[in-house]
Amino acid sequence: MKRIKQYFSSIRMHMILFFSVLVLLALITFLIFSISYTQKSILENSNEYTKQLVDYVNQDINSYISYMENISTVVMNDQDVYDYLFKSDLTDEDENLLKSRIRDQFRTILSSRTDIYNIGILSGDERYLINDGQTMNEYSQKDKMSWYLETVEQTGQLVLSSSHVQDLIKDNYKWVVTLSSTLQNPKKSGTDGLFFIDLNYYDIDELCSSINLGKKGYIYIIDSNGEIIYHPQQQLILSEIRNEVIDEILEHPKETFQLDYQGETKLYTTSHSDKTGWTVVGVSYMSDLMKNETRIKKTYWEITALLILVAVVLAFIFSRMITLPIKQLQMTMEQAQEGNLMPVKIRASESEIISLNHSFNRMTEQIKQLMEKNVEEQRQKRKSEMKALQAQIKPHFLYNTLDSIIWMIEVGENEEGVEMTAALARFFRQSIGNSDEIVTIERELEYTKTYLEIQKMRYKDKMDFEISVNQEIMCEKIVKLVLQPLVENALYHGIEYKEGKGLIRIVGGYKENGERSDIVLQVIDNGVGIDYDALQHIFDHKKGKTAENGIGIPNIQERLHLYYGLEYGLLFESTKGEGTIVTVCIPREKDDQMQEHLLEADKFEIKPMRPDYILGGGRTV
Amino acid sequence: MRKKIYLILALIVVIGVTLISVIKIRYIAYQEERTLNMVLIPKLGEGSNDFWTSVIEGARMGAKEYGVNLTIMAPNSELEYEYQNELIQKAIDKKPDVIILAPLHFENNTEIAKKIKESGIQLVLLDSYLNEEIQDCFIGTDNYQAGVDMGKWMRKYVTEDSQIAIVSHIKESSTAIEREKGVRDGLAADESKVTAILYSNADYEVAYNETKKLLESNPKISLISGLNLHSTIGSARAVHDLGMDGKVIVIGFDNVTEAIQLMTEGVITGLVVQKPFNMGFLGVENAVKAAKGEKVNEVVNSGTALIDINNIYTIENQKLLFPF
Repeated sequence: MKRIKQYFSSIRMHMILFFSVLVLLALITFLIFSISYTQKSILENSNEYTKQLVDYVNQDINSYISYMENISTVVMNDQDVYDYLFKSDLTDEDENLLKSRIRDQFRTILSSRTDIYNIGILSGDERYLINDGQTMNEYSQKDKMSWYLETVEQTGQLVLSSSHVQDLIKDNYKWVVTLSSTLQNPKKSGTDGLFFIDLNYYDIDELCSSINLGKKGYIYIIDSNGEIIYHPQQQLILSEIRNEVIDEILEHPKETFQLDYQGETKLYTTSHSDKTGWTVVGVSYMSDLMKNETRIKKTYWEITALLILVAVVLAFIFSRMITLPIKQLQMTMEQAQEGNLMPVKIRASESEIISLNHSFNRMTEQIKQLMEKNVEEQRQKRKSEMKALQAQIKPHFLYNTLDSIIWMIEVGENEEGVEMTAALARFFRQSIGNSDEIVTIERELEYTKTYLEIQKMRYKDKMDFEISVNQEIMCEKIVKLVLQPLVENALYHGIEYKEGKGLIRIVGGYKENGERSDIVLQVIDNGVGIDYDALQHIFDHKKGKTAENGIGIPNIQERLHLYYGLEYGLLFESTKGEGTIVTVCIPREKDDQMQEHLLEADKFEIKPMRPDYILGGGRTV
Repeated sequence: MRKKIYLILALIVVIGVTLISVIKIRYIAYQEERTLNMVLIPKLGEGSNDFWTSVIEGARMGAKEYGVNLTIMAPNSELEYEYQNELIQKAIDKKPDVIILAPLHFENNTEIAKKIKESGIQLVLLDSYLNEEIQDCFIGTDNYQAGVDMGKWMRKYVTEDSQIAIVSHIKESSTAIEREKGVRDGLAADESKVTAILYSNADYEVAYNETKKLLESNPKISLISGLNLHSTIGSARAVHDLGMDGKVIVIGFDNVTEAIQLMTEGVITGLVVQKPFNMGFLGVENAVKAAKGEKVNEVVNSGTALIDINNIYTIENQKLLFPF
């Protein structure tokens, strides 16, 4: 959990997050704009397109009608027509002549235009001519049909009918649009005649049904009365299975508008013709238009999703590129924190990181120098301390010993006096000219033994000593002045207060301790022992409790720790009234290895100077 | 820390929503783009007669409006029920969503029609029934209701001592039975005046001859009801040839140009006209509903119109009487 938290709070995660959010916002904004723009442009395009189509249909129809009007004018201004229809005193010959002339004219018209079905003239009574002389349907219901009624009503005017079935011709029922007019009878009393021309309705039908307005869209035509001229679903509308917007079309001021009708939004585009009075209406279904839009939207969404995905992946990659050097630097710092103060070269192109790396390296270098200096200073300090102590103590010991020698000579124990003097001389020889901190165990023992011999002579019956050390360890190294102060301690604090004769024993050898092999030396006395409280504070620095030569137990322990590490050092075991065992435990190592230990020990001592403290990481030790 | 987690969650949600909407849009588009496939098997093909041509035209209109992919497979004659069975088998093999069938035979199309349902295809019957009710929906003229309308209309022309003849077509056919029942129910109290029932066997000649025979043997007959096109035209011709125009009133079923001519000539007084275009359109419309799993009425009446001399050329009726 903590690791996850750390991960999410990393610079990298922040970068990914902010980058992604940024891209997301940008893309969504883009998406919204483009979708709304697309919607708008689709609508506009569709409107424009529909308008063009509808206008085209209207123009086409207008041109039909114009043509028919021209024909009408020609026919209606033809004197033959009036003569044929209305002259009462025509001979059969004249009648046939007129008839054939008119028929020729009709034939020409019919052959020139296939979209004209019928052309005809009727008088109020028997006379008529339709096409090239077709028989009129005697049962025609024309006087019930609106085209006829309207024409009669608007005398002398050209009237354009709605679409209807023409039943004027026998056995011929065709869907037509009729342009007709009355022909004024020159005789005021007589009934007027009629001229009509039929346009094939299926031409309009075909024209309209061929126009494609999406999957469901269609075109329809209404006349000025709102009657349907053409509608693909005319039958359904008449049966009231479907409805069509008609009144709204006639009333709506705009040419393009939307209506919600029967649960669907439809787009109506109209084109009105003043010539015919007809209105061509294009109907597009919003759902048809939006189908395209859905497809476009779909594509937009998919692109957006893809871009987001790519952006996130790139965010991961880029953020890694940027934060990797930081991460390396961080790891280097962690290592430095552990004590490994090595300069590192981090590969980075960012100047900040490079300068950070520089500073860091410089800093570690300085710390390293400081540390080395510190170690050297400590060592020098300890050396001079030791020398000072040795130099200070020797005269005291010398004075006591010389006192003893004088006393011996006075009482005539010359032989002992000589012996003691020799031992003293040896003792001094052993300590002179030896400025090394480390000596062989053999030497340390010899030194200690000389000291013990001198002391034994002084105390005579009060103490005895025994040294039984494994010969193999003799050439091993040990820190100087460890055994002698311990012996001195045993003598002054253990044996001196004992009633009767005391014994100091020094034993030593190897001790296998797990995988490693240690050297163990023990100073065993059978003195008064140390009480529990004192034993607890044996390693504490206390003034006035130093041995004769000034080297106290804490000092020995400290030095052992310094040289060999915390796992080595002194161990006190004591029983009140029975004696004390002091165990010295050191590693079995050669000189150079010990030197390494020395370094480590130094490091240990300066450990409080942690890199993170220096870097101000927030933690102080 | 919290904020960051929320931000990350928001990011995940947004990406998730994006992906989901993409999938959803794809799905919707798929649904919308999936056009329904239907096969229409009428009794006759386009151009054969006005009735079936109108049915097919209506079906095409419906297919366009609902975006249906419509295939038409038609027999060449109303007697080819075996060929129609083959067509049904072919249609089944195409695995459409719906088959719209106008069965030629009351019994002999039933077995194969069952296979349609067994193949998991929905079945919409048009115009005629099968002897087993296996269809999802029936669209056609409500023949009984049409008969009732006709009967009621006829009552206007019934006088104290008029006698009525019904010229039916095929004795056992469902349409004949239903129409006759309807006419009788429509006549109500005047039902007792029905003194003759003839069968034309859907043949102009038979209808003509039978009517002629009847009129010659029973001059009291003043009202003839023709229950289908053949009966109506045949008996009207007989009335005309006997010079009894207007004396014997003919009210008939269905429409051809000849029937309109006979009406304008005053031979036929009234016609009950079916609405084949609507039948075709409603057929597809209801098939779409059925295919989408919406509720459909078991029986949809495509309606009839009553035509007389006064309303032939009204806007409503012209398109019905002269579809082309």
